[in-house]
Amino acid sequence: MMSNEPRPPKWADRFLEWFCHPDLLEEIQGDVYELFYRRYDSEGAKQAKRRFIWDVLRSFRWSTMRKLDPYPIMLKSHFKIASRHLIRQRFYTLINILGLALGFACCLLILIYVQHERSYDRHHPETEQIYRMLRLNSLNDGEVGVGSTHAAPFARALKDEFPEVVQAGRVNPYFFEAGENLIRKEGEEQNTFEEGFVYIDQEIIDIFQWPFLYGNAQNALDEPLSMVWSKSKADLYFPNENPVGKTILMNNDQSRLYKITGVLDQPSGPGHLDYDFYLSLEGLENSQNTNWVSHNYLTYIKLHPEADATQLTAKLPLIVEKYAKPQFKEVLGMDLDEAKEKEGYVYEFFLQELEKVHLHSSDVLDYQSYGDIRYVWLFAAIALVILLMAAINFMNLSTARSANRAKEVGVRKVLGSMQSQLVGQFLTESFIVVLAAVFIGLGLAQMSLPYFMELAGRELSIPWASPWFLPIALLLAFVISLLSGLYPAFYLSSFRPAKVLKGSISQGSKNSWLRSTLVVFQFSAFILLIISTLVIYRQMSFIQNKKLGFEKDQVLIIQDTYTLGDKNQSLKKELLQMPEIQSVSISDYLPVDDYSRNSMIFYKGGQRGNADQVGGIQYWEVDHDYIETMGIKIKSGRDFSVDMPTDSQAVIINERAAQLLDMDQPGQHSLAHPFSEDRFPLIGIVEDFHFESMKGAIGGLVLRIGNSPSTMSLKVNTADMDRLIGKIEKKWNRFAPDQAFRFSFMDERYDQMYGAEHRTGTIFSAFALLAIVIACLGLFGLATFMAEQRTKEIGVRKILGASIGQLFMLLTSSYLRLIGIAFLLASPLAWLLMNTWLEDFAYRIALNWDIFALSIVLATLIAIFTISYQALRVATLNPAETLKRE
Amino acid sequence: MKRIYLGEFEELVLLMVAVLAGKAYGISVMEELATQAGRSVNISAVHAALRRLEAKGFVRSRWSEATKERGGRRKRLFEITESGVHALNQIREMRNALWNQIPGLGTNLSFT
Repeated sequence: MMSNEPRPPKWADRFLEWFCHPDLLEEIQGDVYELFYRRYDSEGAKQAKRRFIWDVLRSFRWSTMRKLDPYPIMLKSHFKIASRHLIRQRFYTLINILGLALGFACCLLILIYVQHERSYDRHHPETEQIYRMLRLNSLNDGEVGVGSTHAAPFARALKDEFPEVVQAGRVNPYFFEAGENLIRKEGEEQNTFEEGFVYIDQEIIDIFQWPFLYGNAQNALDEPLSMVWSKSKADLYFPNENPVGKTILMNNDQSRLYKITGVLDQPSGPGHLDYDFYLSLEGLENSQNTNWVSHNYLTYIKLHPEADATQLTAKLPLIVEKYAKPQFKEVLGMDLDEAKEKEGYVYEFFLQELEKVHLHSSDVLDYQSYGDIRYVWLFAAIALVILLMAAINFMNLSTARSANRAKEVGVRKVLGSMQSQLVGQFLTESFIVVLAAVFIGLGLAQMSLPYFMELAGRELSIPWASPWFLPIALLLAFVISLLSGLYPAFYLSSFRPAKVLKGSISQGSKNSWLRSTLVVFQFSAFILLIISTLVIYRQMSFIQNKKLGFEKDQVLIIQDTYTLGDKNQSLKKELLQMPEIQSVSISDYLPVDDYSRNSMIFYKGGQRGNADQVGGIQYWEVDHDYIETMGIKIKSGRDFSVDMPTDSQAVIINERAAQLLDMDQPGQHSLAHPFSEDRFPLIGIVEDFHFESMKGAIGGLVLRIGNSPSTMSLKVNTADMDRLIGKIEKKWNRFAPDQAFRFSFMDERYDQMYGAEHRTGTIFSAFALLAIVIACLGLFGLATFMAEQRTKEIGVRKILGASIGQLFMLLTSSYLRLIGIAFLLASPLAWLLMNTWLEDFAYRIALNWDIFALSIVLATLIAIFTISYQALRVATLNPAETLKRE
Repeated sequence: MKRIYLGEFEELVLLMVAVLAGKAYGISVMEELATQAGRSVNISAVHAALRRLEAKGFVRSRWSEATKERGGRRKRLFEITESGVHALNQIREMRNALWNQIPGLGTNLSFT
């Protein structure tokens, strides 16, 4: 062979030899070489080399690749042995897969929930520049509270004073038509009831840069009486149509016709300002006022990209100094500086990052419902615990059953297996189980998603389509199987063949300290969850059954009565003629959530301008029948009377207000507030009743006769509520034929006030129950195995005269000791956790010892019940049967 | 009738193997494809087709003597099998039957 013989590129040739399957190499290499030489002669060296490389690269295919050679055979054998083993031990396999699948499903659902909660307000463009303004303010009782509402001119003042505030806008979900309304398209007759109305400035749209489907985002809410709709509502009312320019009637008000000026596109993530109908604040007198004393507007700002929020916060006292202070002096007669110095009065502003609004606002006192970061973490912790429990079951069962596998390991080792091969064998087994569990778990999660969404009160979906979802699920399966399979694998594969085959490890379930630790961990989680569930359940029923100070049962609430105008008095009269109806009251101020509220400042002793003033007192307009209809008890003085014309100026206060205003003799005092010259004589004091959620203490309340015509409350006495409602509806339809009859029950409304707590409680107990089921599955498996192992021992004991009772005790006592240890570990933690939770409630149950006692009794009972089937089965076996083996 | 799964390119390669009668190997098939059918393909495509045909049992292969121009490597020579012939026949019969059904044209389809 000549030395200057042409040669194809070396690296390409090597690459070919590296990847190509040996069976195909000679043919392929031969052909490309032959082609190379031919081309070398006809086309020259350069071209031949280039084409040689190309041929090699093109030959690089799946079908030509060298298969990872010796491995598939081992892997195949691993799989075969593993599946044989798993099928033979069906029962344990089932327990393992079921427990793990349940664990995965729970975990997935909780993680989706956590992810959803954390995704609030992260989708707006430049969202990190947006802030919500908060206010730190002294409350009546000397405490300091955080409020989210501000004075109407606050937003403008921020923009005027600080150049780094690029935009500032206001939101008002509280007054006038915010909340619920009856709407209809112009030209139609029938009204529809809708919720989710809110007032906003045009600048709010500018700040958040909500995407518009129709209309002009730049000036949608510039005009008075303009409104912007959400996509879902626009699709409902105007399917396949552009609703911009359409006219909408709200609450039959012909004088104030609204015009749709825009439709928002579906937002790409959840936000805490997601409403259905955005009304313009433009043209509302209240929104233009210059009053710095009343706080009604949520205020949002957008900062310049280079601005620093902390620096701005430091400059905010300027606003208090320049705007608020003069007005506090003038309107309230209050010197802010003096109050600060003497009483430590607090009145200052700070910024809250937009992304934190949803989860970090549990201390903000407003009527918005937020998520709570603590629950998010709590749920994430539960997810982890459940997954851990399932994994521990798996480890426990695998090591416990080591005795059965010891002989197999011994034989394999004698025949030359390396430990690494045995580890591979056992890991394959755990991987099969975990993989099956992951897929069953995914299915379970999908099936239970609708129920979970209802529980959580959120729109959730499993992100199947997301490119990271399945890989992460698989990765998780891999990690879990490694984690839970590694210990058993090393433990089992480390058996010494000589010992094993002699039989000394065949009873080898003695290494129980690790297993005991794991069982203790499970029981601790188990007891913790039982205690928490009991506490949550008790607190909820405590709230439900606490004496409220008013009668919430048998009270029917009719909505939208203002549409009747003057006729509502005639309806009231006619209703009172029905024998089932005891009294009727017209007032929008009801002692359950979602009805009107009006906070007011009052002066002690009726002296207007007096420095002795009390803020934050609720000031409700009611009618003469209110106190009777609500079943509120009068402590001293008298009720409003129709026969006393002077009662139109009179007020009745609750005990708390009497205490705050320092007046206890009806008929001798009178009240005054800053917005009127009048003095209001006090005619009665009513007992305190819970007119707000029990999360807060009862505040001061002042009742006066007034006109708030939207809601009619009926105290009824009937066994047949449906029939009565039918009768009332018939009457209603005579009065308001175009108006849907809409009613609710006060006790249901009351329950809704605790919706979030209920949901949390239900989610918690549901997952606690699942965790308990998983723990029981593991315990059952373990007990089955232990019983099997000790069959012979039990037989001998029986022959020697042990009774069934003694044997039962023998088999269960070791578990009881573990439960005891677990209880000692879990109860302090549970106490701490539940104490923190209960702190949210002003009215709460005490954490008594009986809850803890009950939890340990429950845990013991559940455990014994789980074990007893196996224990009894073994204890009652005929010793002749069990001893004749071997 | 048992369906015969034969791709268009596989059919062409199979025909070439039959035409080359015992002298078919990767390069010769590739060259025939270029000259007779005007199809210029990469050698790897021919190899893949031959592998598939062999797996389907339409061709069989044997090793030739070692040759110098291949760096001492042997050629893998292909020849058509009985079932390969059968497959080609069936495809032709089916085509003929379909041709005969085209109305008014008989076997000489013409567009002039």
